Amino acid sequence: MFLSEVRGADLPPLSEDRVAPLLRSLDPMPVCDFVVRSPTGVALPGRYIDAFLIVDAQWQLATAIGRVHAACAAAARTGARLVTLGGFSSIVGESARLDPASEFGVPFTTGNTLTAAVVAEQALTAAEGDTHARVTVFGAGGDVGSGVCRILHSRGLKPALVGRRPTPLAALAAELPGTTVCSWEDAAPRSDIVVLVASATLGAVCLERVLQSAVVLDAGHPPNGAASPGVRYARAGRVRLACPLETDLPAVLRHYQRGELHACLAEGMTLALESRWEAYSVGRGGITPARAAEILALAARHGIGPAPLRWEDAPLS
Amino acid sequence: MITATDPRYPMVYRDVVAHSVTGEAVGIEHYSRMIPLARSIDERLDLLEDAYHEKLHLLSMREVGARLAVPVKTNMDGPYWRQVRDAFRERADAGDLLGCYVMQDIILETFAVVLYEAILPGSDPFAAERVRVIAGEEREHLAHGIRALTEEFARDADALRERVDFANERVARVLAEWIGPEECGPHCGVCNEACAKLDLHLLGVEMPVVQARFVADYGEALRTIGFRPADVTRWLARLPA
Repeated sequence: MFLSEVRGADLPPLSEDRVAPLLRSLDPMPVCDFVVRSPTGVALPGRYIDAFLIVDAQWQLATAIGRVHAACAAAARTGARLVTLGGFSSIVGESARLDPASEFGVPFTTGNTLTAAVVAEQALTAAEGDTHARVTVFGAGGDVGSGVCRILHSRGLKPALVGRRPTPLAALAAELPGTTVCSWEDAAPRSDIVVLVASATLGAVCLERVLQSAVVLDAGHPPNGAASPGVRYARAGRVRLACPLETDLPAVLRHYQRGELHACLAEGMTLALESRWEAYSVGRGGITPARAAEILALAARHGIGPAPLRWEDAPLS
Repeated sequence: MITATDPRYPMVYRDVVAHSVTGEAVGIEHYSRMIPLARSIDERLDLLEDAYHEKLHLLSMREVGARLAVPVKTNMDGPYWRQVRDAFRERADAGDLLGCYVMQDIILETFAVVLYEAILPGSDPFAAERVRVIAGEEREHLAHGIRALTEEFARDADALRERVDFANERVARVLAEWIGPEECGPHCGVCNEACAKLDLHLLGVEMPVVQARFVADYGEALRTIGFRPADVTRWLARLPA
């Protein structure tokens, strides 16, 4: 939690159990400003607004939707030309079909297309070109998950589809020949690569049955799994910026390696640097390989690309 | 939430009245201390009027106490108000009118607005009418303070930042701790018996919500004045949870 770091060394750190009740009641608010730069020379200002979503046993979707909605309103009040949802707010915005464009006149993007594109690229890196690698996508019925599956399928892989909702999984399996819907219990011990992209609470996915040789790429936010003994576990869905983000509150970036960021946020930055003030990623199920390729190319033009995978601080390659 | 016919209502509401009356008395003291520091006749008149408004609020809440037939306790020397008043007097004695505005017009008015608005839904009609009027006028004070300090920010942002640094440490931190969800460590000296926070839920007041509202409105006031969100976040992060 960045608040403890910002608070100053002269005060005791804030404990989560004391802060959580306060944050649960706190309205979304602007936290800091930043400047995003492109190697092309373009620089744009941005503002980080925290919706204070605490994803734990007490969280409720209706409350979360209200918070994300209020955060969009706060963004509109600051004169934003584009709103990008990040982390769990992206999942909430997608599932709630939020439409701040019509309400506040500001387009917004969930950032899911770049997230899916980056996660798929990272999975392909992990596969090292082996189109026979056994890939399981946990959360395949969601927007990012289905997008990852489509991209991987277009590159010759046949992912196993795991998720909670049978209907979208069956539809995806029908759309992508060669893919199959599986239970996690069946898929876990038969996977070379596991991609976690579920809308789940922290550490909800048990990795006990995953093969010791398997690679687990966790793009969940909050993380779906956790580093476990013998499992090659890496956080995925992050990009590296050629020009690191400049912010007047560096503590908010403390969970990132320098110059790295969640891809969902980078999608909004990419669109802004391209002067494309549009709702690029909205709703669920619209991420195609072509759209993913487009946003990856746009991002690359501004020095934004998939971050190297790390576990125990060692690059995969 | 209990109603005014519940026998517990006067017992809980007497603490509301005690806190209102004491807080308004502190407001009168603060505006009175600011009057000699005024830079113009108009400013002096404005401050005099502010003090007079606080007097009217105090009398209005005393009437609520009288109608409920409860004693109206007033104590400006309890551990929390003592710290706040000492901080204010320190800056007033130093002739720092700007610092006084930050403490009274921003922090204390935000505190007042948040508490009055929190108590409003659980108040009986007689009290609610008064609380609504007072909350509205305190909000006007706050808005006036924000406008005045926005001009000061444009004139000398660093000078104003120094004042907020001081006021955040010496006043906002004290008030945020006071309205925290737990029973007060030292007795505040205002509640009639046990800590009122234990019973305020009977009037529909949830202290974590009140505390969060204070943090949010105080932060919003500072951002409206012109401070960058990052500066405001640093100040808010220093408040007790």
